[in-house]
Amino acid sequence: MADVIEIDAATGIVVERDFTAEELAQREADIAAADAAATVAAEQAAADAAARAALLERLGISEDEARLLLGGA
Amino acid sequence: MPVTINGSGSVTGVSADSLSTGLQHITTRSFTGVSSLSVNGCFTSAFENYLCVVNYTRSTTGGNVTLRMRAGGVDTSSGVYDYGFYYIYYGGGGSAATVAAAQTSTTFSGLQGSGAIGVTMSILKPQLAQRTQIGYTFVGEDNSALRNTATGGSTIVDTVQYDGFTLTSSTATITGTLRVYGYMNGVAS
Repeated sequence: MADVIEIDAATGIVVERDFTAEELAQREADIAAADAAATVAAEQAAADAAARAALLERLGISEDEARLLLGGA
Repeated sequence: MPVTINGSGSVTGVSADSLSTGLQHITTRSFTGVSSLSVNGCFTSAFENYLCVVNYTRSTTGGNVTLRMRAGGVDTSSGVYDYGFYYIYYGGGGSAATVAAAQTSTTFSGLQGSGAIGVTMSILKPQLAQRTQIGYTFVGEDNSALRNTATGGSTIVDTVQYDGFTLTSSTATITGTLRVYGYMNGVAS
């Protein structure tokens, strides 16, 4: 199955083809960047969750109680 | 005034404005099992602004869909894409905002499921030598099949006159239908 479908709106010609070497390199770079961003986001989320849990423990309240206190649903 | 179509096929009773407003269809294409979908020559001097509607399903979960503008059959992959979007889960979960500047593409994330995804994008002034702006709404599912919607915008921070665009799925292949329309401006009063 082709990687790319390329449509020419002016002529109606449709080309189905594989990635060019340049497109493939760009795709690999995109995937690496997305993976790196996802790793950073996951690490940040874990750090935030740990900090939140530590704070709740220090305050001696549950997450539900904290949400109630802050007016959240 | 009643609308009348006479024997020669001409229409009376219709204002010039009503004939010159609305959408004009440019292209419709189906695609099956591709990673990337490029459209060339859909943005011309005939229209300033465009509506792009894409309905598709993804072969698997995970990954993102990105958009790049295109000129002369070549994607722009330099760091000219600023974007921000807000996604809202209505099948469970909450909401979140994402912003990014000087990226190499506009990324639509949070819609990583394998269910049906609907996209509407207004692409503004791509053919003018000024910044192209895109407003969009995605509706679909994330990779846990939680339904969500994402709405946002993107500015292409350059003055390139674009004639097309590319949608790329980083992990899944996509199958669906693409439609592009031009917004007719109407008659200025």
